[in-house]
Amino acid sequence: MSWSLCGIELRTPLVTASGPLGWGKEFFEIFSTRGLGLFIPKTVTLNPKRGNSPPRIEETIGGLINSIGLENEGVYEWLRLEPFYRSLNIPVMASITGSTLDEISKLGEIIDRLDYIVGIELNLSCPNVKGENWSNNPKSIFEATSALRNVYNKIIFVKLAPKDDPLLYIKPAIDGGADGLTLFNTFPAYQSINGGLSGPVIKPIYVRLLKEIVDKVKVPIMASGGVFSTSDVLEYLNLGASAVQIGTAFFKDPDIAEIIYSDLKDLFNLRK
Amino acid sequence: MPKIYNGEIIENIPVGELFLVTVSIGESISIEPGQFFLIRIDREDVILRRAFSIFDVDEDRLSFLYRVVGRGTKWLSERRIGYSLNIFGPLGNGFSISQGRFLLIGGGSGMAPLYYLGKRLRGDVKFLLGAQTGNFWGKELLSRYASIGDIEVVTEDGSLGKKGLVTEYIDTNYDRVYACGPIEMLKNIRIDIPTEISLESKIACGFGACRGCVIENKYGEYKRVCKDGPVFNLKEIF
Ligand SMILES: Cc1cc2nc3c(=O)[nH]c(=O)nc-3n(C[C@H](O)[C@H](O)[C@H](O)COP(=O)(O)OP(=O)(O)OC[C@H]3O[C@@H](n4cnc5c(N)ncnc54)[C@H](O)[C@@H]3O)c2cc1C
Ligand SMILES: Cc1cc2nc3c(=O)[nH]c(=O)nc-3n(C[C@H](O)[C@H](O)[C@H](O)COP(=O)(O)O)c2cc1C
Ligand code: FES
Repeated sequence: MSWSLCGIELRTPLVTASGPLGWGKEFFEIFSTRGLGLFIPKTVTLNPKRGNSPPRIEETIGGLINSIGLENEGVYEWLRLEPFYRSLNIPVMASITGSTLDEISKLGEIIDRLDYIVGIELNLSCPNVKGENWSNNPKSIFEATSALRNVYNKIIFVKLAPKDDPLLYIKPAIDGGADGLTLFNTFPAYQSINGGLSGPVIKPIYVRLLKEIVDKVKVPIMASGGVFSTSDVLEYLNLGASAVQIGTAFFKDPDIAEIIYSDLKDLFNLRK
Repeated sequence: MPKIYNGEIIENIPVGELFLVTVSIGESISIEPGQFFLIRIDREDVILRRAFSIFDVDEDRLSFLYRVVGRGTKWLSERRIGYSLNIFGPLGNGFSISQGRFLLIGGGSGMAPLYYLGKRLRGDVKFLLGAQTGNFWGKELLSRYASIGDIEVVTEDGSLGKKGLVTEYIDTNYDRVYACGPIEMLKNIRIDIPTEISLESKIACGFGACRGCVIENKYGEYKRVCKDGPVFNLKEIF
């Protein structure tokens, strides 16, 4: 079995969703890469970000709201992880965002020089300087994607927010030069804290949105949202996703990728 | 290194208003007092594992002392002997272990980590335990604590021991103080002896990656309860 994402060879279709596992160091000290095809660290920004004030997580029935607020130490700290990323036996794709086009270009230029990073996932589902999400506005999506495309030569995936009429937001990402799409980031929600909802509750919404667009979009899609089991992975793959991201499920089962992959191996062997 | 274990329940019984669950993990591992495990709640509508401090360790047997406060702990209290609990740990930084005279303050279920701590400390151990009423503990639990140190209890309604709050009865004749309990209790420990406290927060990953569990210390820095803690120096927090 081998999978390909815009020419990147993946040994499995399972990808870590950016965020829950941080930049990876703590996780891979305890767990191996078994089951995983690609690692995407938590979104990196140009400058360190303090993140939102606590409490930052709240559990709902069948879901989780988080408001981490992109806490991270900034790209220069992240660059120090080079030896660690080189030591992983799976490809690593960076996740970035910025609050201005200039920040996005700067990050693109820095990461363009890194031979150990196979591509960039541009996380547009978080606020820009005006306090709006890039992905709420088709024009902003186009501008942000183009800004990165102008400086970055390898693979770009654009990660969008779940919104009605998805093509309205997908088209400007592709026109701006995206090679693929990650669909979707968390769903805005409130239960004692404001934040993004993830987990099994969002999956039916995301499946509906994907169904609307898979036949109309030519570029590869990484599906994200509510993947907790082998059947969730199969559902997204059968819909047409090229790879499937797992996020919140790592909190319930840190070895979820391994568990799902061993099921997938059995299934695909049977079919051969 | 933390690991995922299948812990077969060999006992899960009420003790006073708390529950005590003991699982056998089939191997004996090294655990520091104050470290915690994340127990998976096997319900599809529950996402996060629940955190419990280690109460006691006996060869391959681990015990947790817990209070039923919501759907996760309720589910746990309904598991029967033989059920295989999926547990992940040990996680976090534990209490420091040394020799001397120690005061161990436990408010409510905050008493849980103090038992194993008391067993591991070398020297004189005194427990100062507080609860709303005397029924909270149950006789057996108190005598278990009493078997490893002096014990003084304080209840808000005065039904057992002294009446009031534990923080009104702290004397300072010790080398080190350890405390676990409600945040209001911890805030009211105003002493000049080195004091270590165990904090709580909602835990997601449990190993320091997601930044979901942070609390703000007195310098305005965010600290991860699961990785920088759960045990902190009191002076660093308040
Ligand atoms: C490091 C650590 C060690 C702990 N050790 C113990 C222990 O030894 N014994 C024990 O009884 N409990 C312990 N706790 C608290 C325990 O994790 C919570 O009581 C449990 O998660 C509640 O789950 P639930 O599903 O029953 O409640 P929920 O339905 O999730 O919540 C019910 C109520 O409890 C509150 N609550 C939920 N989670 C926490 C939390 N982590 N801290 C404080 N309040 C919370 C909620 O706000 C709500 O009011 C510990 C927590 C941490 C972080
Ligand atoms: C704690 C947490 C932190 C997250 N941080 C990020 C992030 O930094 N960047 C990003 O693009 N997505 C982030 N996400 C969103 C996930 O990558 C994922 O798209 C979303 O949670 C839906 O998938 P899931 O249901 O499998 O978690 C985060 C999600 C969670 C739960
Ligand atoms: S729970 Fe993830 S960092 Fe503490």
